[in-house]
Amino acid sequence: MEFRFKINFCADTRGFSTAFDVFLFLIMVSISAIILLPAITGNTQIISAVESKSQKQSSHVLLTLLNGRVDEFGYTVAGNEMDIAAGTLRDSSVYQAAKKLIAGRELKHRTFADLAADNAAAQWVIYHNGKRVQLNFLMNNYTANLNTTLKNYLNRQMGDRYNYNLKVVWRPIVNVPIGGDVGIGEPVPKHAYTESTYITMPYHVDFTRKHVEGIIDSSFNSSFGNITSAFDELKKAGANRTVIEAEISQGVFDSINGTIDYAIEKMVQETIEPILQAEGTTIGQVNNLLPGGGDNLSENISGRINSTLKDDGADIKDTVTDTITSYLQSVAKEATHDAAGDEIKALVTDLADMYVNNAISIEEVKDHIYTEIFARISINRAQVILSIWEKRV
Amino acid sequence: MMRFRKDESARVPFAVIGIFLIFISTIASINLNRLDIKMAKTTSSSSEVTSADTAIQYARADIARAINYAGMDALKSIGETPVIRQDNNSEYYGDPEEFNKNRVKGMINHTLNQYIEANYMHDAFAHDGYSINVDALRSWKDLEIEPVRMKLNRSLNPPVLKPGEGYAKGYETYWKISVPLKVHIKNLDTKSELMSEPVTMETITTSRYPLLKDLADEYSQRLNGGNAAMVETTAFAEAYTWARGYMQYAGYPENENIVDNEHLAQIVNGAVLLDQGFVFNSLDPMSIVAFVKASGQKEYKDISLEGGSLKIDPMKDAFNSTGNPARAEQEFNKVKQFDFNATPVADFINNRTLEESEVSRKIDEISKSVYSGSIKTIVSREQVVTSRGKHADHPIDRGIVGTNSISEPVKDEAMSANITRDTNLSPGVLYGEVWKVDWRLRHKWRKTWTETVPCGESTCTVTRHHDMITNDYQTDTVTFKIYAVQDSYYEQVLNYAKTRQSRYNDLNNAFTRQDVKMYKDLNLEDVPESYRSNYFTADIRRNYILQFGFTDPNGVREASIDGFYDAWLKEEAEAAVDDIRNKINDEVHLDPGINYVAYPVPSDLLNASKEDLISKIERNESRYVDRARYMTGSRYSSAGAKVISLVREWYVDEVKYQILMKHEEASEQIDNEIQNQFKGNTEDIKTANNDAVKFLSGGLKLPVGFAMEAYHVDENGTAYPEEDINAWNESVTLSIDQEPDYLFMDASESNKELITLGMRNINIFGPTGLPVLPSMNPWLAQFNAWQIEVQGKINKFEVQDVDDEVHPNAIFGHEAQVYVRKNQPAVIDDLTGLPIGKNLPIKFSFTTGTFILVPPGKTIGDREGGVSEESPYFGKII
Repeated sequence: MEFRFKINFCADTRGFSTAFDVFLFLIMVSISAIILLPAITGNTQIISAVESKSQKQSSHVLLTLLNGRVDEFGYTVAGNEMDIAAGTLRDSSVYQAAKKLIAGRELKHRTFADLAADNAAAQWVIYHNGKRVQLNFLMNNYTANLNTTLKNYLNRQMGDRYNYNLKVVWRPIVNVPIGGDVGIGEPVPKHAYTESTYITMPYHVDFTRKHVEGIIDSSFNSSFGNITSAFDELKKAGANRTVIEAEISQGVFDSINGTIDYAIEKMVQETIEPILQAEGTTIGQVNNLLPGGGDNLSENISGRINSTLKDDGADIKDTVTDTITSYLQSVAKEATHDAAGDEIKALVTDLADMYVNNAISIEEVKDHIYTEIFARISINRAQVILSIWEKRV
Repeated sequence: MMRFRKDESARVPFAVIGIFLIFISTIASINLNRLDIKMAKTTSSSSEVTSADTAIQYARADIARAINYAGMDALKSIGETPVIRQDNNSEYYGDPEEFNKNRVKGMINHTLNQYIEANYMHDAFAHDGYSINVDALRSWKDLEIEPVRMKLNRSLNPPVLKPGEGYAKGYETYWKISVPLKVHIKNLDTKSELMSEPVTMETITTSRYPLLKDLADEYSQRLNGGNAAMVETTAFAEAYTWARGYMQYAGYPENENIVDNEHLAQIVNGAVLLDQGFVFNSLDPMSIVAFVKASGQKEYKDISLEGGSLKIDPMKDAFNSTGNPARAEQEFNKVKQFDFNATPVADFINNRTLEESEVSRKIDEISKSVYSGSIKTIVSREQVVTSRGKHADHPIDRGIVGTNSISEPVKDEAMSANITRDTNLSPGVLYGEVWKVDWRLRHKWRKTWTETVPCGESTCTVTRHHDMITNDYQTDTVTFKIYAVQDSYYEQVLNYAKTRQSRYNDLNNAFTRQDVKMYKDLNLEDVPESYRSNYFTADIRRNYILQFGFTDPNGVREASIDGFYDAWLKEEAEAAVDDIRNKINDEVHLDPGINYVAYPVPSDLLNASKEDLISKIERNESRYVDRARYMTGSRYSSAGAKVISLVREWYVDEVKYQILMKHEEASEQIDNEIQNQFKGNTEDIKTANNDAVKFLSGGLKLPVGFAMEAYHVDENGTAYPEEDINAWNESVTLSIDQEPDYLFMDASESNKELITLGMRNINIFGPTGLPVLPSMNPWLAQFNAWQIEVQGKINKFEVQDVDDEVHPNAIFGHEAQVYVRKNQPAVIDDLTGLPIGKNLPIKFSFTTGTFILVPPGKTIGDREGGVSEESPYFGKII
């Protein structure tokens, strides 16, 4: 039957197909369409081009934020607090004239990045126990004016076509939610194009890699001795590797804690402390205008910071800077432990593997550890992230 | 298959076509997708290349910011602790200017390395798979600083000595920092370095430290020597001197001392603040409070600023200081209008109370000379021989050998009647006589002849002669004429005009009596007669005639003969002078604009008054001299008229001359006294007194934070045109903090730190002052002066840039750049911890003076406590 059919089919010379032939033909046309469909409807190129363009746009705008200067920027700070310090003199025209100069802040030729970094550096925000606590309550006008300035600029640059979100995040201890943030724009959707870079912060706390090395050398004290001895022990006592790695991990944590303690103490000492101890130009200006007024102003600010910290459960120390230091240290260490526990263990395991297998030297091991710990301190820089996405018409 | 090939029925099954379709679709789809992916990859790879570029762009932008942060931090530091006197052992070499710049480089180098280590090493700066690493800087000496200059348009400017005049090329306002860096780009996936190249990064440090420093330096300069603060102090002190001095002149005893240190301390504080306001357009608000409190006026809360400034009026303060401001102002204005006119000089020349006044002496001198003539006699002789003696054989004339008159000279009476006068008053004959006399002349004649006489063996010829005397008779006619050689000669010497003119032969009808008003003027009529009676007697004439040899007219005596003038002449001349003096005194008054306010240096006032008075006399000079009144035609109507006219001419000229001389002498006397006292500072002090007035003419302000406008200038100090890309301007508002707020010259021992002012004032001419008496007369004015010596120190002087608060602050957001001058014996280098020099407070000293000139008749000066008043710490302040 099959043969006959074949003979018949082949021998058929009537010039038209059988229904079966047509059926096969239609199936094959469909298959061809399916094969061609991706090629016809494919937009890899377009998507890539659009992505590239959006990325460029994002990069370009971010670059202008880094380079672009705001010729005049102003805000006011601590006007109400000065009035309190002035007491009965607040209505004096001499006081009023001088107050305008002291409380009014004018900045010239600063870049957007400068304004944002300086703002973030003065907020002293702590995210803890699900709350956002901003210690410096004087920054409201600065932040509001900065947001307006940034919005105006970004709207002018790309507001007609793109939505955007700009964030400047300063985390002096990496992944620890203390520091400062500047943020404008709408929530970022998944399809947004994001560009990010680092910007230098105004603080240049004297905290070098050598300091870290010193801290690690003094903090790392396992039952097997220092880093070199501990790693050597891995080679000698392979059976106890889990225990040794755990000790090494603990040593690294101790070093991280030591480094955090040192860095935060140093940072508070070099930034907040002198101001709250009634030093600096602003306090001096107020003291000149209102003899003793600068000290009152400083006490007022310290009192409010102390009160905020107390409400947040901080352990109150003799001085407000001690309280700040202690509280920041405790929050930072807790957060680091929560966030970096597995990372550190994995790092130690990797290093142990490489060292045991003679893939790296003990000096390289140390270097990795130094780098890992030093990289966790980021007082000197913040991250700026710009996300843009096309507006839907 | 063979059959399929051989099948010619053209029948192709659809299935076969379909297979072909599938085959072609597959190939097309594969190729299209491959192309799409290739294009996308191309796009993507260009994006990867861009990523490296973007990374370096981000890094460059951020490094520029880091340099700015490092620069600002350095400028903050040197602004707070500038080195004014450098330690030469420090590594930062050079003069203080260069030294501080090197410090800045050192600090930038250090800070930037901190940033580099934290942010630009160990692949810390990563972007999209690429990292940017930067090598640490090697030496601060590799850094460069270039100033950006700007000039200031101030809201408040002084009338003179404007700030900025000494900064023709503009103030250094910003510094551009150049940093050579070595930048590495690394692919983090491949761990390979893509590029490593040196890059010089440049950025303008946004702190205006250089501007603050330049302004503080300028202020310091202006406080010292014969500069702005000295002028401003002089202005305030001048106001006090006048207000209190003229009160004393008016006889109000409450102002025993005109100038005292208590007021001077306020004055110097005022000047220091005023100039602070001019330089910075701002000053320490607490200094305003302290200044107002020191003058005992108001407390802090009651002080009212208008438009951000305190208005001050030094004249008002000066009037208030007298305790009777209304009266003080009244006296001030009264003396300001005092008429230093020509009267003292006009009266002095015409002072009848003197034994012999200048005018009287001059009238006598002119009268005597005008009433005189020079007369001489001219003699001519005509000789006629009336007969000669016979001498027939004696032909040779041997001349007259003897004469003798044979008659007395005979005066021809008729001759004198024929004498005519020369009516043209040119030298002419005043009188003439003709005399005759007969002479017998002994005339010798000779005759000669020759004779031959034996002469040895031959003969010789000898000439013989014979003389004879005959009598000739001659008659001489001798004519005498008396001539007026010159009449009414007078050499008019005019001192002011600097002329010396001989006036003579200019009388109408000289030698003839004239009727002048009610007087008879001899008009030299008596002169010829006087001559004749003295030089033309009969004996003289007889002797002339009988003694030959007097035929030469020049040989006859010429004599000057004084004529006679009546007493009325002097009275008339004196009356004429009185008339002129009265007119001058009535009509010539000093321009009210010439007073001590317009000319605060008395010598200048006298010079100005001299010019004014002389010019006013000159304008009326022809009326005062009134020459036409004394002329008939081109000649003086008479000798008396000439005398009076010459006296008038001389008097008017002499008044001018004496005004010139007396005022100049007086001016010189004052200048010499000032010079003796102030030595090398004299010109500065005189200039200061003149400039000072300009500060008193307008309202003065002590501002708190007036905005100024800074504009960018090129290397020559020229503003860029608006369309130039380099053109920009910006506002500058400054704030000042000085300690102490008020410079005290006296305080309790425990508070020595606040004693920052030393004062000494010397009342140069004591309680009475110096009478201005040129050549001892007349008494033009009374003069006094005060030498004021000031030494001061501002323990701390801080300029704050309050509209460019660049420095990040962890609590207040930002704070101002400052520039602080204070005593800091060891400025410590932030990097090495070693002392590198000293910061020093602003110190100043200057000497000035004030003057007072009051009308003659009263003394003026300090009356209590001696001529010198010195504050307790004078000499120990700086």
